Amino acid sequence: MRNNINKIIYYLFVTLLAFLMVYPALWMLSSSLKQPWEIFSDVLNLIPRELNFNNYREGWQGFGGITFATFFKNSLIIAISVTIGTVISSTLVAYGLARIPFIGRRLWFTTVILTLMLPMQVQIVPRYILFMKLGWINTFRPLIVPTFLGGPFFIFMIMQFIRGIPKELDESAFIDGAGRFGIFYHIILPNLKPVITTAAIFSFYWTWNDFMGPLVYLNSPEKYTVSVALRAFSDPSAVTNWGAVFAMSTLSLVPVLILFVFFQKYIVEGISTTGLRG
Amino acid sequence: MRVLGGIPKYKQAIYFFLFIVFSLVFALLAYYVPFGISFKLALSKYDAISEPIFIGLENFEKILQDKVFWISLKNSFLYTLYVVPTVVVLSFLIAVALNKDTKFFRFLRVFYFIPTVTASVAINFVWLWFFNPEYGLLNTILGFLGIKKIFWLTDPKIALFSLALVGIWGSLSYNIILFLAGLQNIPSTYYEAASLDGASRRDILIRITLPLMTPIIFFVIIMQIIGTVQMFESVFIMTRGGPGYSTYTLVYYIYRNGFNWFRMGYGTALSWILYFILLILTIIQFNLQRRWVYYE
Repeated sequence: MRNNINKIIYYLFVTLLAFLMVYPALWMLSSSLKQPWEIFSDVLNLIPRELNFNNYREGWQGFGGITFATFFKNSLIIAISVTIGTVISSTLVAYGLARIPFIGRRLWFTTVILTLMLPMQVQIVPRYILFMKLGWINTFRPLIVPTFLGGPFFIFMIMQFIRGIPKELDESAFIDGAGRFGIFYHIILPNLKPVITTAAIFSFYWTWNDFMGPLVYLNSPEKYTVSVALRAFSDPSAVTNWGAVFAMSTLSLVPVLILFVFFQKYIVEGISTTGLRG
Repeated sequence: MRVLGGIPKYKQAIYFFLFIVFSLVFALLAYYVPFGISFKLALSKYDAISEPIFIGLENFEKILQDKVFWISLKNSFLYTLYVVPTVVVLSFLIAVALNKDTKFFRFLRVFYFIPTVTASVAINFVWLWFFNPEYGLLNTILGFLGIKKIFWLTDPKIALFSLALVGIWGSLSYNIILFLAGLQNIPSTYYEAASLDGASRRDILIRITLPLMTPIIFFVIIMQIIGTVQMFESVFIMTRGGPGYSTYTLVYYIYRNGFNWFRMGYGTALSWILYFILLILTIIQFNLQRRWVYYE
């Protein structure tokens, strides 16, 4: 009997906590469908009195004559380019570091690890100046080009994975007459599919959600990404249409949620590999 | 092993090798060039328009006397202190609670994983309204309980704490996934042997699970500190450093100096200080790990 009560409390607790985890997102969705006056007079109610899609229609108009179509397009261009760049270059660099012996490899690996600890936020000012000298401010280039040189986090993640592939496989392929490229293409690459998928998903997420980068490098509204546009849209000095902000905020989560639904397994696995073998 | 038609194999190998070497060299440049620039900048006065002027260590001397720097440093430290231990303990406990291999729990876990992807700029607007003193969710609930209003973001004594709440909420999910993966990696034979020996659940948690999980706990602490110190969106969107300087963090102060006041040299010098603090913290942790992290 007492055991059962404990069990019920336990189940209730984990369920309630699960609800709290998703509550802010649910609240946002529900507010985006409410009448503007209803959002704040009825904060506790998650179910709108009637579904109102006006917020979406108004929000989509954006500001300054630029609609959210532009912001979504910008975000997609950046996120997709970054994902492609990160995946290709990080895989190659990781392979080079993990399997090709060369002078200074250790030092190089240490650099990657140190960079892992030197987050973009810390380097933001010198990076800005570098890109300013290159004339890249207010273009997507500062956000995209560096990722074609590999991201330290992903290099580290893929390296951990390559280390898990038995070296005997490389060697037997080598005896069969394969060169480095053959080994990479026929042995390593097929084995890397899961970790590459994970890296792709994560780099898409992080780029999609990135705020400081676009905020600093992009000045004109027609270049804004969704995250920066949302901020500009909710300017504290102007009267903000919060219904519209929540509507666009909800839309901004749609691409990442879709990815989450389809690739949940890879996300979970990816987070696990970095931690377990670290 | 023909991969690309028409090109001889040895040429493919050369191209490939060159390609990798190039990626490595370019990647190296990508890290070291900004590093070099930032080293020079930290010793200069630079407003992004006129030429930088070399001033030696003057920036660092000024920083040491800069009240806002010390406030920001204190706030970053306090914020990290609120967030990191709470996140590590809570996400560990939640992971233990969720580590049951039944359909119900597999389903439930999805909800715990969702904030990994939804924690973003957008969610900050939601929190901004949860914290609203008049109409916000939190004060509405407190009102029902008969508790006085709390000025979550406008009371200088509370604002940083409120931001920490958002930080904690946002980081739990990712770490729960990490811990769950670790827990599932512990062979069940360990548990079976322990319960045969008559160990209670608490004994098993403290004497078997916890020691086996220390490498992951260590990894989580390191990554969480680095991630927490970087927090920027919440300050920028919810408080703008205010009220007063009560939620100025180092990263926010660097941003203000560099991009609002165009004190690029000063901002860079601040960045170096932040970097060294992170570096020292990490080195200390790596040294301490020998005392408590258990490797099989």
